[in-house]
Amino acid sequence: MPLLTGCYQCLLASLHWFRRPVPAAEEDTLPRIAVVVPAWNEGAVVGRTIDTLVALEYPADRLRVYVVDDASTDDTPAVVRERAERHPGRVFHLRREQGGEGKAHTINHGLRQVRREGSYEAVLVIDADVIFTERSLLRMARHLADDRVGAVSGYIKEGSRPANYLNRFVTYEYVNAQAGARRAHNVLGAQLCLPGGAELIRREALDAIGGEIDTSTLAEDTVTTLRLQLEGWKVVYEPHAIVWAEEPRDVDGLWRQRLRWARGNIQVTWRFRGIWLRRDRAGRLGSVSFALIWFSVLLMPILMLLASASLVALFVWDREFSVDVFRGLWAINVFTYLYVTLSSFSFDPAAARRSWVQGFAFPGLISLAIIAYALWPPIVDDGVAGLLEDAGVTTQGALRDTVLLFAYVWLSASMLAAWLVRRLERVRGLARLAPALVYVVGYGPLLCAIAAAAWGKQIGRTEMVWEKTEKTGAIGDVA
Amino acid sequence: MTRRPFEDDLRADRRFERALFVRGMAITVAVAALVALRQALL
Repeated sequence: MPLLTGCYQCLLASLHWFRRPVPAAEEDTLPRIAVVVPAWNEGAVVGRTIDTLVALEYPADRLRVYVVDDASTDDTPAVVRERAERHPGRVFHLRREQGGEGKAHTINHGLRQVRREGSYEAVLVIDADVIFTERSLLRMARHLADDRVGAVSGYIKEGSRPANYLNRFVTYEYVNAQAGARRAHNVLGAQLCLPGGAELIRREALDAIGGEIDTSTLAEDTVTTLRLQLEGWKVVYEPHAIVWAEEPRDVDGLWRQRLRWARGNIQVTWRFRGIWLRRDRAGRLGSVSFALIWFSVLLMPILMLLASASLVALFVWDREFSVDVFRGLWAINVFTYLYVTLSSFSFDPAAARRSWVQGFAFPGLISLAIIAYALWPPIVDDGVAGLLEDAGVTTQGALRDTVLLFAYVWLSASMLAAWLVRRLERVRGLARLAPALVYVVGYGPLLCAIAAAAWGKQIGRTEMVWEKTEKTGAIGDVA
Repeated sequence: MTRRPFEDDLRADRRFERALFVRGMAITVAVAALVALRQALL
């Protein structure tokens, strides 16, 4: 089901051309924008972010940057003050003397200050490390010429340079999850999440949800997105507004970042439990399409476990029938994998050129080998068995059963393997094996393992911790 | 200040979306043909 949902989104994304063209806003109608940049110990990155913001192709008298320094203990205050002196009236340093409450609280502090200080028609909430390309804000802001649009987001791309293997996996993932999926959501007429890294919100729309960002979950951006739409505002994704962001360079960093996101999504599902499959309450968000898209991601680990358990049970009950089901399922896998991968490459050909290896290796080399076996069983049944017999080992059909059971179990065991890769990465001397193992186990199973861990933490009511992703400012290719 | 009219962006973005549609349909047809071929061979 998750794979078919992926195909559905790819098909919808390619129909994005048929959407009504964006209104051609005039320059003098562009909104006055207050940019709110939450920053806690971001001295390494925030200076460049401010520099790119003030250099954007956007009328200077309509753009003010407010950096909310959340009691930083590094050189963030000095960096921001220096920029504020260099750009008087355009860059402002807002200091919280007592911080540490998390990003949403920091943003809200900024929003309160901004409301007191000046007149603005929209607020742009961004991360301290993101780099907007020259005309990206223009491309986002033009949507606000339509009075019904309450919020707009851009296309956040992985921008770490030099990019390592994990950055390239994230590049491919973002092509699929943003350039592809969010286009599809535009076509469906709603959005599930405008990323907090680049979220432009109309002032009246923000006021309609209380003027502040949610602080009760770890997914404040998703909560904002859903609440705006439930208040009747349109929320859109602008795929041509490119924003670069630095992403984790190792499995542990990725795990901590995504665990926060996945736990946030579980919290959001519960909080908004009344909207799924309820068009009468939630409009387009309540459609079958959005329920399928949301739950196929959220329940992925559970679905993988169920698939494994069902195949093993079938094997015990009726071995040959289980083989038929396995081949049928993996045949669907092959075609959906091909369709989703090739479609993703077409959504962003430039990113595809950089990450096509990771795109093809996304499910992991073991899963690809299983796909090959499902498509052409003689690989194992004749080829490998023949080689073993030539070497004097008589398999007598045991090899086939072993391979079959391994293939059935791998659907869920791959999550355990991904968890082990994370543990291994922390072991001195073995960490260098982690990249090769991510290719073998797969980036997809790694994301599933993180989702499973999030379920565990949420069910176990483990304390919510805002673990900040470390940023170094190594972003390139800003063009 | 903006150095290029909005219409230039709009035209470029629409061109990309049109090309995306063409590529998407080509991929859809190609994968559907593969599915049909497999069914025929079974």
